Amino acid sequence: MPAVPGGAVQAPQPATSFADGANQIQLSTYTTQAVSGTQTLYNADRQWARVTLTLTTAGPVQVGEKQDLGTVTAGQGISLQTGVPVVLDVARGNRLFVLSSAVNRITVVVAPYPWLEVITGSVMRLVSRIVGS
Amino acid sequence: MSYPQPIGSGAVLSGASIFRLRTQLSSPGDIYESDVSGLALAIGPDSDIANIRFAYFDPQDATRMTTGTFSPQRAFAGLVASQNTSDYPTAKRAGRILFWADDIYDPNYVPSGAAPGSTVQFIPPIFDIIQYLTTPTALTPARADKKYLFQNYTTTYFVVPYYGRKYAYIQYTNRNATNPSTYGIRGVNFAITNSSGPAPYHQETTIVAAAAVAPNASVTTIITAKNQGCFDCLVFQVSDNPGPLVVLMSDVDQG
Repeated sequence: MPAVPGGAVQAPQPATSFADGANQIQLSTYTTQAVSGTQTLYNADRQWARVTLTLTTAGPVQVGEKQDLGTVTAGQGISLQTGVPVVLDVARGNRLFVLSSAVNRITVVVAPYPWLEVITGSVMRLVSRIVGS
Repeated sequence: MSYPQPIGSGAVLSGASIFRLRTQLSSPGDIYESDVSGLALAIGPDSDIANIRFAYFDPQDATRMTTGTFSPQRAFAGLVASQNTSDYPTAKRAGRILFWADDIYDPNYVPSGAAPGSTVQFIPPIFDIIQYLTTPTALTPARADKKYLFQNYTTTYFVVPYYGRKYAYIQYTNRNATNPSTYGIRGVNFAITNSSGPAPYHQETTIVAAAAVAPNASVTTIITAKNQGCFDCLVFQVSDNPGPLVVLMSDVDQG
């Protein structure tokens, strides 16, 4: 740590740079509506993302990749169970849809793949070596 | 019924893990509703009503409605969905979970033999239910004990809710230093018809016959389900004050 006059030690300033959009974690609480139509829960705007959904109320809530999930009992998606996290790997361009017949809470955690960049970098280095040799 | 009625979705939006509906019952026809689903239904700790009927949308039933009962002895565990996007047939009303008292309450009850000019004071029964939005860790079977204290009054009869209670400890003391007072207890089970007319169908059981209580004398009574029976309400007849009257009741029979 840098020394300051008087012999005291000054703590470093907190970092002012944050992860860019592609690597940021997104935390939110989604509240379903009591409507008959399917609603968009997550719109994948990054390369890949690991989406964790946890229903914190009673349900029933249906989640799927189809734009029209029908009814909560139609089987066009999966049912979320209260307090049980569901982890979904969602590729870019995909969407998650949700359907419920009542107001419910869903916690949504959208996390990036930190290892994806490492793999991509390794592959690119390997490719450059092959191409360069 | 209190207005505005609490809304279940409001509990969800506020982050609560339960939806509690606690209100005074003003008539036996009060029906309440919840627009959210629950994982369990239970009697609230303050409820005077012991048996609560509920109904929910059920596509397997011809009427699209299934009913059940929960009580201090029997909570209802399991998902009961409030299917707001489905309609009950004929009425075309959106799916809801409905609640109402399965016990009878007659706010127009008049004790038999009441003299003209007598006043009847009701302690309105509390309707208290809990709808669990998350998995409950425990469903407490019994309601909280209740204690009523009457001291200075200008009424002739007190009607105190006693639905489903198994035990009561009652103590009355005439604190009028010179005059005796009249005191009596009866237990009442309401009938569906009201009490107007010369021969109401309500059933009254004399527990302590109305009689004079000497100045500074006390009367202590213990009511148990085994010895006296079960009643919808207890009716206390009093004539003078000051006369502290304590009523303590419990779901648990104290023997």
